[in-house]
Amino acid sequence: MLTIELQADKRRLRLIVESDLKSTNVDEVRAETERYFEETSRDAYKTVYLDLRNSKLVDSMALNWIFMLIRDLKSHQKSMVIQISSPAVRRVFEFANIEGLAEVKYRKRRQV
Amino acid sequence: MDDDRYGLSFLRSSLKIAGYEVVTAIDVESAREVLQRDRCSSFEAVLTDYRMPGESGLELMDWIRRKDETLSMVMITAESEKELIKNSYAGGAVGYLEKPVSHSQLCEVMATAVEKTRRNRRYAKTEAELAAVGRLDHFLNTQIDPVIRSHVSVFYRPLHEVGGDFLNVREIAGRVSLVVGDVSGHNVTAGYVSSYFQGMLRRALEDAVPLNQCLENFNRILCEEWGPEANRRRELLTTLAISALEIDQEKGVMTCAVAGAPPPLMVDHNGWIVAESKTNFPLGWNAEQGIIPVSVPSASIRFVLVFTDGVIDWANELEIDPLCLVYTLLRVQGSIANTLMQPLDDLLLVRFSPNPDIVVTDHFHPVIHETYGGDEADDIDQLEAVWRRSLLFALDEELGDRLFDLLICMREAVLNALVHGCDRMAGRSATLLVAYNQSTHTIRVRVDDPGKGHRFDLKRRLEEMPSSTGRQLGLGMIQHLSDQLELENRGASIVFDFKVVPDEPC
Repeated sequence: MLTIELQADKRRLRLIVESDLKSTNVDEVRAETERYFEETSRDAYKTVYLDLRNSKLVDSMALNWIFMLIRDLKSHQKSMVIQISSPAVRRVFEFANIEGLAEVKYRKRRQV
Repeated sequence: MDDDRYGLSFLRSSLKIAGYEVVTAIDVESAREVLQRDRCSSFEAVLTDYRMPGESGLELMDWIRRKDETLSMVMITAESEKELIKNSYAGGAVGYLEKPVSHSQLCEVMATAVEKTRRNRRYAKTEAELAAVGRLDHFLNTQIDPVIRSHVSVFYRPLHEVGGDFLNVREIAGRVSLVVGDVSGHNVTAGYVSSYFQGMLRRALEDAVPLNQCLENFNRILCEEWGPEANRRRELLTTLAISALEIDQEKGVMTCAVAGAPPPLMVDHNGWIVAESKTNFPLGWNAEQGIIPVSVPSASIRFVLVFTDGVIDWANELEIDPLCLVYTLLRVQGSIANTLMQPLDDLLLVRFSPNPDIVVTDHFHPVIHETYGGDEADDIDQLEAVWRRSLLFALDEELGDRLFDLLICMREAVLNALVHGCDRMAGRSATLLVAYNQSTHTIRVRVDDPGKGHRFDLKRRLEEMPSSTGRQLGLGMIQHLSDQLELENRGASIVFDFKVVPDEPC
């Protein structure tokens, strides 16, 4: 569901979501992320990469979590980059104006 | 056949003593001449030596097999060669004899060969007769009055040669009747039952007997006459599942009568299913069962879909919505059924348009129609997986890159309906309908829930929504991703359209 990698040399924290992000799994992803934040010093990284390149679908509950995450990281003076590859997720992000709140890197992958 | 005249004489005498009529030949060529002159079918066994000058006994056997597969052949060989015996059997021999041949051995092997020929010929005759019955059965099972043929599209794939589902469409004195039936069993008996029923139905309709009464009459025949007879003979009861429709064009009324079959689905210009009858037990279960007809005005109905349970079973096997299977089978006809896995039952589905001038592709055709209980909200991933498979099955090349936009919106709309409209309660249900218009490349989705909707103007609020978070976020996403959004019943019904750009054909 979620892989968390700390790239200490680059001061990056990578949150890699392995599947679609939606109402039925977002709580688990949120809980895992929060647990990591509590257990790890925030000084270890400057930027959080949220990798959603495996997600073809992001729903409204997931969007709410992404907003919360952005807000939380901003309050800790961390920047955030979101990587996506699905045109549908990109359109959801456009609607939600995520690009105004975090850097979104979009590279289209063939949808299967 | 034997080139050794003494041996041949012994074989002839021996067989004559055993009561056979015998014709002899001394080589392959003369044997062929005899068989051609008197015809293979006049012989009941051929006994041939293997080693002959010129062509061998195997070559004769090969020639005979091509002429008449039913004629048994026996090979005589002087050598105990396993390879030779193997070749004889591969060549169609039913037995072999090693020289020297005794009278008793000869009689035993030839009696077996003759019996085998007789059995083969009985089977071949029965098979030919069954094939003829099958052709007649197929003809009787797809009866469409030529007067109204242009109203009807059919996909029919029976599982067996005889005794499949049947369709009967007739126009009698301004009344169109469409009857789709499924007799229990897939055998000749089922074929007889469906033919009997159809004959009775035709006569009753010609006598202006209402359709539901025809069904009630046949139910009584099955329960009171055929049922006791089946019990007496310790055979299974015959039952008949029926989905029937009667259209009175003058009065503009459609009447459905259903017994144990999927009910006809009446579809309007939006692709919505506007009327669906309740089903009863199949005919033959309960003599007291009344068939209650349901009538609706036909003016708003673009077409009616009627199918047997084989379609539903196959859709379940493929884990897709039955309507996307219906849409696909009617659209591509035979090719898909040949390329996909084998169906488990007969497949029969019919689309009937009251107005023959209607071009079905100009209208929305339902591809998904599901009703979910409020307690299914937690199963949303499984529901979404079925939608995904169904949409890909029916509309793969039409979807372009809109599949996931569509799935997000369907998910948001259905979750909203189950969580808020149904309060997650099992006793309250929401309905999802997805329809496709092939001419305009538009997918239309409708989700209805039993909730009261909103007091405020939800659509206006969505348009004015400053932030993309918080309440109504899901609806906001639907509005953004879809090409058109309409809210009805104060938001308890949501309808949205997707224009799709089909993929370029490869």
